[in-house]
Amino acid sequence: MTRVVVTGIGVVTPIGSGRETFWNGLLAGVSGIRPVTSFDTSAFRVHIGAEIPSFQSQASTLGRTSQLAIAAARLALSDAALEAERLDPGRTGVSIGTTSGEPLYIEAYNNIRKAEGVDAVPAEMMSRYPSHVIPVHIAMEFGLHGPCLTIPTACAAGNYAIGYGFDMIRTGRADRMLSGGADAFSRITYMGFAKLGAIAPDRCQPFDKDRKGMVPGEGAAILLLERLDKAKERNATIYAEVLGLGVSCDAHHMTAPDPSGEGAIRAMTAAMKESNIAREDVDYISAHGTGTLSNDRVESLAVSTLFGSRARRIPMSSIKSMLGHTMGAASALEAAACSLALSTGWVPPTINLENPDPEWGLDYVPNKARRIYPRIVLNNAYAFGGNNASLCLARYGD
Amino acid sequence: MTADQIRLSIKELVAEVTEREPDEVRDDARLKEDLGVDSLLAMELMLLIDKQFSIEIPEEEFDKLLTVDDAVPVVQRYLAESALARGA
Amino acid sequence: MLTLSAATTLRFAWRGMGINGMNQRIVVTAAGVISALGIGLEEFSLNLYSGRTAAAPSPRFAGFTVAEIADLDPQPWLGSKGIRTLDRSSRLLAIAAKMALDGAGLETGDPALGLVCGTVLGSLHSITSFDWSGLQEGPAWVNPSEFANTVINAAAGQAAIKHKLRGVNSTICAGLASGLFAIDYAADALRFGRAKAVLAGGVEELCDESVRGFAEAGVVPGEGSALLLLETAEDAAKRGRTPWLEVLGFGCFALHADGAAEAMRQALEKSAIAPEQVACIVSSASGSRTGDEMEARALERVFGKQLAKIPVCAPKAAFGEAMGAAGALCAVVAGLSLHRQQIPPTAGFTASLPISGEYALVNAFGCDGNNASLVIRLWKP
Repeated sequence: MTRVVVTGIGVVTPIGSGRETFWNGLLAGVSGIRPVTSFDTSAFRVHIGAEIPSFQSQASTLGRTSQLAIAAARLALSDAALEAERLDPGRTGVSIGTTSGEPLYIEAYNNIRKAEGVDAVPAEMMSRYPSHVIPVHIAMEFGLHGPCLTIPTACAAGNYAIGYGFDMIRTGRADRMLSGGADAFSRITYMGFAKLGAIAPDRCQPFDKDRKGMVPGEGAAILLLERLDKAKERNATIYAEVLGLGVSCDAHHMTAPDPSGEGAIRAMTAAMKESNIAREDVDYISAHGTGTLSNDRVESLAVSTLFGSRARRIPMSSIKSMLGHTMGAASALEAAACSLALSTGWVPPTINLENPDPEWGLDYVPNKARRIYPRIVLNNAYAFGGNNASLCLARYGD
Repeated sequence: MTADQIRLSIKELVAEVTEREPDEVRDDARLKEDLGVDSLLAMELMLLIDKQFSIEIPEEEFDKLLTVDDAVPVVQRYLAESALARGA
Repeated sequence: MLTLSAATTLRFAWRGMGINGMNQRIVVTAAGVISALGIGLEEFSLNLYSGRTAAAPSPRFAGFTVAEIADLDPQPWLGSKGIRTLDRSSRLLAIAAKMALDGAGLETGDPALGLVCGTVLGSLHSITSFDWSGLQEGPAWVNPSEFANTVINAAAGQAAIKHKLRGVNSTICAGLASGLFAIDYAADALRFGRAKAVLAGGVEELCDESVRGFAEAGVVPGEGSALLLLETAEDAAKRGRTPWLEVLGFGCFALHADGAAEAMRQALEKSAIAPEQVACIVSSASGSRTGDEMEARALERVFGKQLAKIPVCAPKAAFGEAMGAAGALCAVVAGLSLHRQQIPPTAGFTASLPISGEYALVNAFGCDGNNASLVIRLWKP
């Protein structure tokens, strides 16, 4: 089957946009978490978020999420040194993961409804909401006709979307895919997590003994996935190779992970099996690591159980410590970071780790980036609805 | 509001979130172990109780309530406090 | 410096060899349907073939003609416990899943049993209401249980919990083509060995927000859920189940005037059949002027003179524009047609017609984006 590589990375994030700024920021431990400015949080008990205030939404029929995603897609193509005109439109598709689609239209609908009544809402407002418009807008931007869809599997969506892109190329249905994830900051999301008591008061401390929760954020990440031979033909920079995807469903609870970690273990196992790699080959894990008590505990338990005594020697970090939880973009941003880890040899730290949770003795890469030259990495993501997804990537050239 | 009225109200809310009849909810049944109130349902229950009585029980206190029996005096206390605050 | 284990290095060398599963035959061994046209496959096909339409002036949505499921009572399928926090989409999907699983002879809880659900909106009502309650009462008073239903994959998650579906679980949004994309995604999951049995199809619910926000002249908004149970032919045989249908080629082409025609051509090509071999066509025509004309032109382009000999039906005239559920509902219609060798009436337009042949083409086209087609065949060992 055809091999699939990552040849372009486009990101719009709370710590900056573009591959270089993003990567330098991650390695330097830059945090994008600040007081929320896009809506009034005075009625909430928490006030921090990871927004991108510098990304001004244009007044347009495109929602903020689509705009973030298009910006990331443009960055991915330019990073890949591939002009849109050189893409074969029938053989290039778009797959996007998201949690909320375009929720700002729902918020606007309700704002008008509250101020003036439901009949004052413009008829076409809701029609801009459906989440499939995001990849469609990207496809329109570049004139693409290949497989085009949204996989809205919430906080794990990016992995699912990248997995789909991988599948389209390796089965010969596409030569290239723009795959990743996007979500815009939304009061709906903020309100929900705040009510669950899941939001940390001042910073995100994944895997810390005293962690107090997650921090909602926004962003977009698009990877250009490409057929290996096409990439070589044009002398593309190859960041990493995608080896496989493993998925599972907890079928346990809508918002809390299965405490046994069993679903997470099955997803990792399936990813490794599909990728034809052994447990001893995993050099680094990009954790879901939201910073909540339950996620980080269950995730550590799963990794510990699966990798046994070797688990302590596999560095595992969470870049959510810096980016916050960018929802549908999260695992795509993490896949981007994994690709860069594979190509540069550095792995990003988990920042704000003052007292790493000692329960499993795992190495959470506290506070400082480390150069470990990983060859095989796992990118883990766990979502509402019990959707678990692990993406396996490898250093290209081995 | 008498303790009995409070107790009945709480039972009805517990019955609602656990999808049973109110008379199936024993006063001393453990919310979590016996009635299946998981963390999400607990939050919902807390919200419904707060709304029903127009009070705000802090989460940390609510977490300590293990049975309907435990909840009654706590609701009474917050009802009294909010009455005081209103100058009633 | 880390080195790969010898075993892994060897495995890498073999990686270009191909996945065995890509040649697997994918079959349908059960189906669940809940629609305004009928609750359960039997009632659905009875009403479909008698030419009935579920379109009617709506008591729920004053001033609108819709195809809605009146008095939805989930208890007969879902029991009386654990359904309180299920919103309408979750209920519909969980019911369709139960229908498909009943009599499928599968062990629920099996980690290789999955669900892939197409939808256009998710539960727009749940999301809008949750936000509304925050506006009306303040963020401190929103119901956390309702937050769980504000994610677009909520229905798929809820159905998985209800029926212990622990395998592949995905939600697919590709506009009106969602349901066929979901079937294709599920078929691929089987081919890649990521699952052994997958419920595939979709769901859509009617709500104030959707009926008002997506009104289009000529189109009757619909709702419902349909799921096909897909397995490999090999696994079905091992379990002693005789398949109903086989899923053949899938085609898709986005954002192009010729997109629908191209999607159909791809589906036919991948199925290794010529247009004249198609016994019947289940179109996605919904009463939308632009959509229906687009599909008519595309059919002419692909089938030319053959089109006069191939019966076409448009079942959305019966069950409405059920969006995320439409693709799978149309696939069911195709299956029924092949089985009976009779295509149903297009309610209010054409009569039921005999067909002759084993292949059906199912279309799911949307003017705003994606176009998909799927070829289905009567099962033949």
